[in-house]
Amino acid sequence: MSVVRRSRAFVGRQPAPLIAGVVLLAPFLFVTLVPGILATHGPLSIEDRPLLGPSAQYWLGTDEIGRDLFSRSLYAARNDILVSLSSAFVAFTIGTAIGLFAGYVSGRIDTIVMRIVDVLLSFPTIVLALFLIVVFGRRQWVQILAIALVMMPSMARFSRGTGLVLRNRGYVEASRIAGASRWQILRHHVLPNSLPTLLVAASVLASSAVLISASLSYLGLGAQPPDPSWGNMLRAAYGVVYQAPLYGIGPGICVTIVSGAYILIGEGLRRKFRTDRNVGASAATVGTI
Amino acid sequence: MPGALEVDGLSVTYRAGRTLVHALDDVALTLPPGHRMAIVGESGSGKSTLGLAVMGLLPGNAAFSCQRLSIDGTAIDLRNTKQLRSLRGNTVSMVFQDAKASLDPVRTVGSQIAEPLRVHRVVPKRDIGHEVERLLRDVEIKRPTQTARQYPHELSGGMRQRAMIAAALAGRPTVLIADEPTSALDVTTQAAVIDLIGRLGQSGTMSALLITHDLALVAGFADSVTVMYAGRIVETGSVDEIYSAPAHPYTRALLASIPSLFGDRNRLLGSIPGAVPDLNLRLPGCVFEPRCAVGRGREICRTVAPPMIAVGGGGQARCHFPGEQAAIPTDVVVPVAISSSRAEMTTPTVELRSIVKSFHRKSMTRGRRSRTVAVNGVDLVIGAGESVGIVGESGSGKTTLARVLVGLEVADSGEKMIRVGDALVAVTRLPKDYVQFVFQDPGDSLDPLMSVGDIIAEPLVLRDGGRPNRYRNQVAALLDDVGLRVEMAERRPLELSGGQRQRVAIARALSTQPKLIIADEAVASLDMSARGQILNLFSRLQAEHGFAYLYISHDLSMVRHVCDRVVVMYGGRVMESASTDDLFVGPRHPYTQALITAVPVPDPRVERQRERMAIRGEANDEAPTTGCAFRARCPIAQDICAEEVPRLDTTSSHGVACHFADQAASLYERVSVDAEIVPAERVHHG
Repeated sequence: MSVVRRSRAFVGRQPAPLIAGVVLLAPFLFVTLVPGILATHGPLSIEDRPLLGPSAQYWLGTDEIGRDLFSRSLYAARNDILVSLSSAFVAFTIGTAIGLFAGYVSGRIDTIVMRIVDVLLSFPTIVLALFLIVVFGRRQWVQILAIALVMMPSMARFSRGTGLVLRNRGYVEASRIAGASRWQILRHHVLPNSLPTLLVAASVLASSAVLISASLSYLGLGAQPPDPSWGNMLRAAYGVVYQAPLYGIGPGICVTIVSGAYILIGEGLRRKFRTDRNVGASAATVGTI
Repeated sequence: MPGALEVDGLSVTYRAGRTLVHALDDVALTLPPGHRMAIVGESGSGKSTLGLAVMGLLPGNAAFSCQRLSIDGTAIDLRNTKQLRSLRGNTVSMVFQDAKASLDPVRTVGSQIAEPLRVHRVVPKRDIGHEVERLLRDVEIKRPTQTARQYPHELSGGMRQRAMIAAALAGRPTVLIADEPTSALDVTTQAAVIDLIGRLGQSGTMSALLITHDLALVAGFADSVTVMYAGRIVETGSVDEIYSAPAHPYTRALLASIPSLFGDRNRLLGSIPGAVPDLNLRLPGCVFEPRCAVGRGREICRTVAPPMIAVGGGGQARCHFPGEQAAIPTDVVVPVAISSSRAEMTTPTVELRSIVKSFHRKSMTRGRRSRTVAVNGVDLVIGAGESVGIVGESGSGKTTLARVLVGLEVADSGEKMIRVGDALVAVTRLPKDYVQFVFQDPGDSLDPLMSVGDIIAEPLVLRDGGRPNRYRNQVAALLDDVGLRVEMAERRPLELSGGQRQRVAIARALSTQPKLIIADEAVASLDMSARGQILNLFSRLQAEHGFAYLYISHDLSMVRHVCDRVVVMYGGRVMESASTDDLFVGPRHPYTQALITAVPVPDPRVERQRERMAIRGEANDEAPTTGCAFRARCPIAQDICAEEVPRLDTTSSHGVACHFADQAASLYERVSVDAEIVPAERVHHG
């Protein structure tokens, strides 16, 4: 009883966008882990005639070779959620490490590092990812790293700003006076104090990772048939748009909900941390990523 | 005759989340026409809320009730936005604290002063230009035509504040409200701006309401003083009554916490125990009771809120026992324990030799690099156990010098020496535990995510390794040393008051038992009552531990109170260096003289008779790079000052870097003679 009441109180204290985002994302996380429970059919099994409309048996209809679209959309989450989260995680870790270090150290090292980052930033996102996948093959980890690499520079730019702000904070200078090394200051003061802002940025990264991943699959460079992904399903839907106009609805809605949920979580986190004074830079700039 | 401003029964409550903050509680105020009133209070006293409420500028989360508000005899409805809008900038106008933030950076000063003229149609359209110039002349700006065409960033801080005042005067207001108009300005500029507002209030029918935390500032300005505490007016009275015979214990305690420019400096500053109460609680009884020396524990003070009662001289005080406080001594003259013998003080702990530090800046608009020399060949010796003060206005290089000393900046040239055994050794970096720093803003210098205990243990962890828990006993002892309870170790900085945070910062500085502690404006961001506590703490800790202090401050009376020796800096150079007693009795550099005469004295009789040493310009003006740095502002500068850099005489104990030091000294005697004879000490002894 008291646990229920306490957890209800806990939920009540959270900002609305955070709750909404988590509620929207939860089913997708669930099917990522155990797709078999919700799916009505197997993702690869051919069930019926192709391109059937939605019915009680096939909730979203069937695809061009008669597989259940609803089940395929769910199974596709496994690929897309994994790719988006892991690429966002990699981009966040590397980008933050580079950015905070460059911002905190500043000076010549900062200039050199950030010019390299700027070069990366100047490549068109999709073109760079396409290039990497073409060179290194169409494997999932290549896809993850390619997406991470194209998102990393903006994360580095953003966290550099935070590092620059925190560098001049009194507690960082006090720590320097007491003889702390760069590494100690970065670990004990700069990273913890920038984390709230950076996590918000990370949620925006995850959201754009979903979109990039779907775009790559759409171009045929993501998960390869017969494995489903939202991008390659949308591509298939495009080919048969006159025969089965409702084909693309399932994967399309999934992409929208997932990327929207990440953004909502980010906005929720921003509101949650807004009351704290430790947010290094204005979280509004996160939107520029 | 109706008052220019009459307020009765004004209460304001802010809603912050689920808590209600009672910012103003049943405030009543009458400001007669042509009267200058000062509202004094610490942060949280509600003084700024009062100013905003009168302007009808309360933020959206404020709920208020008001029995009567009238301006010039006209009743004002605070809910009638149309009426308020026609009054603002017209009948009532306001000068804010930060002129830089209050002026629009993309519009000329003239057009911003013209705005109220246009909006309220004060003068016909074709006369607006002339009127703007007239207003600028009124605020004593020398070249009004030129200034009107300039943008805010082209003006110095004092000029901007003058322009703000001109804009406020444009509508020919009946009431001018100034909310901390000088707290962003340097001492010399502050004096000039306060004098200006005082003169404006005196000359016409306009009344002026000056809101400030600094009781010393208003002694020469106000006709009457209203003291606020925790959202209530606790005392009002004529300026002479308030300063010579304060009736409320709070007023008296505030006065005792101001370090004086005159009299005995070997006394502990008065301080008020505890902190301003939380305004979300409404307790019965007197709001000041928990911190009061008179009421402490008395039944009536704890249970019955005192009404305003008349006290001698036409004033009123909200106290059950207004007469009694005079019997309680607020200041104790203690022979300050000299921790180190004079002989020891002459052996330096740290010595800086010809330090030069410059900064390169790329100008965004003009694309050229400029070099600013912040510190230009400064020597500084700090003896063991000695307290040295560095004073100067902003841009004098005092903070840069301290940052070079502590290693936060690397000097372009010069030597840093420390004492190892009996010898002085040149070093590039000081040993980890040799010197510690106490920053100006304790809210910024404490990591908000760390617990107080971890913060205090940090220098120990960095020096000796291990986890913060290992130093639990040392932390407890340090907390005790700075007057905090041991349980505080678990708290986070955000849960503490400003004074408590500064104590934590001091405990951290003490943790490694340094030889030297540098305090950079360490009390400037604190409330008056907390300042006394912290300065007394500094004195006590020095007597106990025997380290040396370097105080960096713009506040001369504070420096006089705590330092053995004072170094005056201007434009990156040392202008004068002398023992505290010598410097304040007989300053020999014109700049030092100007600084000392600009310091407000908390005694209206002294302030009325005082003459200030007039210097031109402002601290932020570019100092000349050849000759004497101060010559552009100096009243006695001659040709030689532009050609030859005056050398600081290092052989005598009172060094002056001025070609005409003797002439300046005799000039000062004329200026200061009146102030000296007034027994300022009477203020403190009641």
